[in-house]
Amino acid sequence: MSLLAPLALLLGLLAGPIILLYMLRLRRQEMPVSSVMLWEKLLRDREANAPWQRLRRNLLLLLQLLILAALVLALARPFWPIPTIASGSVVVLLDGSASMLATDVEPNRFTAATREVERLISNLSGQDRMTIILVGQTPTVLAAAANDRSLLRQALSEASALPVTADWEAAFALAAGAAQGFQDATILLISDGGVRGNLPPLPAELVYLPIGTASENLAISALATRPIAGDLQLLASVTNYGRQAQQTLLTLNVDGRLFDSRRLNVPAGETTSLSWALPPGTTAVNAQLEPQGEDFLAADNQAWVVNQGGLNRRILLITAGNLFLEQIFTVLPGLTSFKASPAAVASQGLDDGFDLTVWDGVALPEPLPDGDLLIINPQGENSLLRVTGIFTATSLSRVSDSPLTQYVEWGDLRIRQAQQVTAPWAETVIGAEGGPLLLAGEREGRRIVILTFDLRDSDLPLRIAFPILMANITEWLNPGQIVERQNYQPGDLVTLKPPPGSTAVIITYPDGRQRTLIPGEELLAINDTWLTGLYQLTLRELGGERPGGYFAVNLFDQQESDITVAAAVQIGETAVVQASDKDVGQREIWPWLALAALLLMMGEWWVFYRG
Amino acid sequence: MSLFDEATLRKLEQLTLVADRVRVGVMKGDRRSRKRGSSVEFADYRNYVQGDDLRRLDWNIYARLERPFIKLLEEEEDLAVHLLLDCSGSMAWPPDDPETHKLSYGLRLAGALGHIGLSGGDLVQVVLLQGDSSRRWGPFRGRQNSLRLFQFLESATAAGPTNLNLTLRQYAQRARRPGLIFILSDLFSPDGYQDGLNALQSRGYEVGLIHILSPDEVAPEAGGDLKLVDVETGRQTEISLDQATLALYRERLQSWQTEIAAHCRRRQIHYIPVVTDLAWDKLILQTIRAAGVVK
Repeated sequence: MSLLAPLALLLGLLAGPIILLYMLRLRRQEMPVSSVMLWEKLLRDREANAPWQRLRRNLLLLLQLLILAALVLALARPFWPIPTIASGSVVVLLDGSASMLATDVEPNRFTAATREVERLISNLSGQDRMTIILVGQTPTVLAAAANDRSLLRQALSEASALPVTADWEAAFALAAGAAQGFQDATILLISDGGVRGNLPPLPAELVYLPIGTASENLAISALATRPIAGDLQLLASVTNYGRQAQQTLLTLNVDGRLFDSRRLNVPAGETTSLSWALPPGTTAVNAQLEPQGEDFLAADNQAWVVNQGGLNRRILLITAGNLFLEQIFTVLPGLTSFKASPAAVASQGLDDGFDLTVWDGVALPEPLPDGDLLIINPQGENSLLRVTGIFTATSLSRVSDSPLTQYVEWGDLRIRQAQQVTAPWAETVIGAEGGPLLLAGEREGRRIVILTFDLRDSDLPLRIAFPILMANITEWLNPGQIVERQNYQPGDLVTLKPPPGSTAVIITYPDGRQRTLIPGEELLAINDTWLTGLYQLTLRELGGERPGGYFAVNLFDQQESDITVAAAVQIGETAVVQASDKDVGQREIWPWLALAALLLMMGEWWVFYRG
Repeated sequence: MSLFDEATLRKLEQLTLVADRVRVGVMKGDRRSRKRGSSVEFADYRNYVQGDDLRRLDWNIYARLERPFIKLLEEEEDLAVHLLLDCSGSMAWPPDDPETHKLSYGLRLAGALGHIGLSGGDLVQVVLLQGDSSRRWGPFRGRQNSLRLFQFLESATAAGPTNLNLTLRQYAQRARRPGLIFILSDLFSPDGYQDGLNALQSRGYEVGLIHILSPDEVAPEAGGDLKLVDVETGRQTEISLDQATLALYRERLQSWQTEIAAHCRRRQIHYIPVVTDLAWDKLILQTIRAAGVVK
């Protein structure tokens, strides 16, 4: 046992004043009495009854001296030397990535790793400093060059592993910065070895402490859709990262309904790929693995894929024949178009479930069909509009600033004639001298656009403005994706681009939690996508709420799914091998001494009042 | 004279000292002895036994009955009264309160008893017990000596240690005229008092023990860590006084007095415990009267 602050022992000289005070206290006040006979008898009796009474005063002095001894010794900070992995200035790189969630050690690798850090904190000596860096998707410094054990423990208790990919480059850069300026710095890497990237050389000794024992893990390594010859095909890959062949059940759910379930046999280290033809209009697919053998990482046993941004926009074109329209709806992305003749509609009625119905030169039936409406060359009179005649003064007189006219170059558009339409609920987006050419508005919870002329009576379909205008119209009528991609990895930044007119975007997380974002000047984005699963988006507009599609978050990361513990870590040219208890740490015992002093104080109090 | 006023003296003169167990006198006194002797008053007859003084044979009866009878006469005798006042250092207590001063109280008490005795024609002897230098007054008879007695008492001082046992034993050995003896003391005598009392009783004394304590001895009120110094012996005792200790002291005092009372009862000694805050005339007229020593 050695002392960290031996000078504190000088405080032991306080024993002198205590003994002095004790002796002073014994100089009692003299009081004459007529006789001490009775008092002497009394004292004899009391001492006979309680023999320790005589010792009481000496006992008090002894206890007080013991208290002083315990306190002085505590202040001198004695310690036992104990073997430890690292001492001095320690920078701990604590792996908090997905593979650390593996449960091959109880309760999981990350908890086992924090226990190791806890042990290091306990063994810190007086001059040691510790920096803890949690290596997740964005490495964070939990505690910087701290010696305060409670502070370090507090920082450690706030750390948790997430199903993310660790950014080792950034973590090593942080560690290099933290180790700089310390002569005795040691960088301790506590991980399962999934370290990769273009790692910079470190200015200090690197020690690697591997966590984990097993490598058995079965993962869905890919899940994707692709259109092939008009059909939608689903591809799924299941990889066995373990050392033994595994049997598993792969279950597919399409839009929440069980679609298929297959038993797979995946040899060790191999990948099995499968494909399915999905029904048209599929929005989201969920694949789930149920391994029959050992599987220590659950985060990669499920995967989701979202088709077409989750917005399966079905368009019904009702026309006697309009090649321009048929072509444009086939070309525009994210649309599935269907065509019907006016005669068929008149005889068989309309099917439900279309997001957008396009009426080209056809009178609208009553009641009006569901969904949004694009009315081209309107006819007759109905509850929405009234055609009062024809006008030929079609030179553009007014183009209002609207999402519909965005990026559209009108030039000298020529239109032979247009219908004179009255629709009080609609705004005129493009007006000619004779009357409106393009009207748009909302009525009864749906959006309606009216193009008052026959496309074939104009040169619009031949202009570059036509696909842009049609894209604008379909986008406005039924907005498409508001996220850039359909598939993200956990922790990825997801940027949201809500269409104009949206007042809020509501994100429903896989666990049912909801978050509402209000569009403003700032970029709308979320990065708390830690949970793998399907994220649902809902747009709130003045007229109400409507679906905004989905995006999926999957752990498709071979490095994280491969939970095999590396025996050594390769940093540049150097292979860093496993650490051993080669350093000497210090276990301080002052808290026990302080506790002893407290107990002695309580004992002294008891002796004092008992007497 | 400062010990008593005239009215008190008158009151005292009406009292008489009573001794049930003392029967020897050399002068004619005011009280009748239960011992039969050579006085003139007839008491009884008894049969003659060999060795009887033939001079006391009642010849008239012998002539009439032809049987020898001895005539018993009632003898009248005086009483020897001894007043022994403890004048050891512990009696000079409390030093700062003349009202409850034990020696003053004892002197008054001795004066009163002496005056009663002198007024009753008893032979009164007063001794101030003080180590080896005890002072004696008397024996004197007759009320004319009261004033001298009071003067003697007023000169008394208390100092030094007194071994009560030894002093009483010596007094018993020197006794020429046993009688009623009053011992006025606080009994703070570490060597005890019992042997002395036994010696007195064995010499035919009738003993009255007046135990004088001051109020602060009965219920002390001091507190804290103290060094108690005995004013008589100079002995020191360290003690921490708290409520519990004081309660224990009162308990001890009580049992000490109970012990004395029990001893006295067994030995037919009149034990009269007195606290000096009791008015002394009340003591004479009530407490001592109740003990049957004065009537």
